Amino acid sequence: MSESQSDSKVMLRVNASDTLTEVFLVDNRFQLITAGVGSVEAAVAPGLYKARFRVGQVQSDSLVEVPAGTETKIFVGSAVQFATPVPLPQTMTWQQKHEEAARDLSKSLPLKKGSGSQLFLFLRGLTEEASRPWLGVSVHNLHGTLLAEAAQGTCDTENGYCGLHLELDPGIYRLRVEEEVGEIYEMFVITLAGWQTQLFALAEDAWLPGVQAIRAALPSAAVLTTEIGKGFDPDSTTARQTELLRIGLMSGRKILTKTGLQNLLAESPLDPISTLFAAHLLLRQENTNVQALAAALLDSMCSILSGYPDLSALLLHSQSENRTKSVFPTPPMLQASWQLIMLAVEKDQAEIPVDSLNGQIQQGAALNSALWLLHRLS
Amino acid sequence: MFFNFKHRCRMMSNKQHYAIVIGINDYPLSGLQALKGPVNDAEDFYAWLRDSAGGNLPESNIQRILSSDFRAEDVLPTPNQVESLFEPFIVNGVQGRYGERLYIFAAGHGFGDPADIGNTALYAANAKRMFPWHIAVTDYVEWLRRHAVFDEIILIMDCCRTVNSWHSIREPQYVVSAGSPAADKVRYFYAFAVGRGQVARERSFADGRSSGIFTQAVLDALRVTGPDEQGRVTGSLLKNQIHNSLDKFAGNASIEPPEIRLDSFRDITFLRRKKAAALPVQVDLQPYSGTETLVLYNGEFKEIRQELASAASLSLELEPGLYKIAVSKTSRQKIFEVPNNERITV
Repeated sequence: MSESQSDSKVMLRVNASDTLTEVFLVDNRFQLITAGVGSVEAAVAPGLYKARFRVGQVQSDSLVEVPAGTETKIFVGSAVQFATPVPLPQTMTWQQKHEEAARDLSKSLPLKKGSGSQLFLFLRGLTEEASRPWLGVSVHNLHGTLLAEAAQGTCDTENGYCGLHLELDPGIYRLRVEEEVGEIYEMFVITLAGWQTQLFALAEDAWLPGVQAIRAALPSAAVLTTEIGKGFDPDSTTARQTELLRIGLMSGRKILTKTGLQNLLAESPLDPISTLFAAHLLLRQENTNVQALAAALLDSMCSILSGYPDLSALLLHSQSENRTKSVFPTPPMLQASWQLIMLAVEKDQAEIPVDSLNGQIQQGAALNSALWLLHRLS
Repeated sequence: MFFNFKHRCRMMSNKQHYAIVIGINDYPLSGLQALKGPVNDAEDFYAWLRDSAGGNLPESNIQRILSSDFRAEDVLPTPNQVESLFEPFIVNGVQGRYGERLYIFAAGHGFGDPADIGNTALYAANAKRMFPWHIAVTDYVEWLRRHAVFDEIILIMDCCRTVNSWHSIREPQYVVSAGSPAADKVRYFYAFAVGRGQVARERSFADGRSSGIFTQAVLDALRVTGPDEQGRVTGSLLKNQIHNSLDKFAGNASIEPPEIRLDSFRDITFLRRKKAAALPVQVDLQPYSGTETLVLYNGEFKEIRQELASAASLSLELEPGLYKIAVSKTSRQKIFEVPNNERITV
């Protein structure tokens, strides 16, 4: 009696290095067998297979040999080396001096401009031309009052970085980049009571049209949050996870699974920025099997982001039709949150005061970006 | 007699297939860097369309426009010149079906719409930073699909899809109509060199000619992709082949993965062939004593070749796939991929 095909199959499990990396498994003729996020599993015949791991727009491949005579084969892929402004090990853009500087400076004595929360800016360049990434960068309050210029921080031309550490009242701040005289754009950064917001940016070719300069690039900036006193930890799984969520959201990838969400919710305390990214990823995925977890996520966010426009925008989307009109005078951090607000305004469920900062942004000074809400100053 | 009939059928051109081929190298008014690949890419794709073993289209069914067709100082083609190629299909398409298949190939500098994630345009030669003249390629394609002007639409865009908040894609001035109820039946294959927001790359290849990395991968896939059991080279098979072979064409360039959209349940059969084309692989034995016996296995561990290595370096011709090569009675072995491993050491 010959062995049936199912008897000779091997359970092949391919694990990515984390739960937010996409995994594709193809056979020896390059036909897709299965795809998933974090890991995939398939009953396969002994033979050769190819596993592809993808983060945003970056991917790496591994060939996998599944021998006969085994029941299970587990293959663990190595971390995909993606580009990020955060000096994380095992990334394309990591530099040891940047990692060390970010770690040390994030724990340095902050320049006091308020109390209760911290903002740590770390700007870096990877080339000689980008060795002064702090040029033109400044932090302002919501009224536009200058609080500090990046150049007031610790700046190192030789190694191409700058760290500015501020103590601030919890709230929303304007991070501006003047790419050349009069050509200014900004993003909005939140700081939270008891938390340090860390913002990382790489110096790149100027983003505004017509400007020939190398400046910190806000569209690709990364934001992490950590409890005050802990500083930047390059080995933190939360930092890498937050970056994977940001890149997933920016690239339009559907990377949040039930397992990924469970892992996120298992953290204590919940990381505010990760939860914000996760909530928007969930909105895009319309993933019905994680509704309960999504509700838990929103509840958790209410305790840490209450009163911030990004959360209010998400609540607008999740709540029923019958509610009082929400008023949004101040901008959110994320472009996706801004889009939710605009949608609600169209449906007459939200209002933007004409003379508010949001009113100015609504009048056409918002720049389209994949991730952050960016505002060009006239 | 039967053989002759079949032979004649194979050689007959696809008279119901049409194509628009666009290649723009130079953008002197825009500040965009001049490219070297798009015209070559368009010519290469045109050659494949004409090839009886390729697209097999009659010359009269292909409309081509290249920046090299014009004097550099004229800064052409403009959007109108390119859009006029779509015009006959739009004009006739309002009335109903025009043909079986339409190929649209576009290479040059491109961009994605800031607000519409799927919309991609090609800058015209006269594009300026403040007047981004362009051809709304995907808008045209969607119009043709919505009106079921062709049964199959194949779009290949080898261009950047970067997003500039100042450059929105303007919908072309074609007529507005409800579309055709047959729109859902239109099969499609949309292949973009990169995902939204990403930069496509070109490079100089071994023959000294510059080409888009993506176009070369597409053309190679069209030439070598193995068929399914019915002998069909389908869009899904091509997509897999392109994804798996792109690194081979990238050389040292850092590239982003392409975005290829199709409906696998309504797949296009690009062409038919009996088997995949074989590709060369060089196997180096290190160390080499002259007594080594090499055994080659396919991806299902079936032995497909065994021989005494007569030299320290051997050449194999293999169809695309995964393989394992081993030196008999030793632990020396290597698994490798064709393409992507043109030279391996065991």
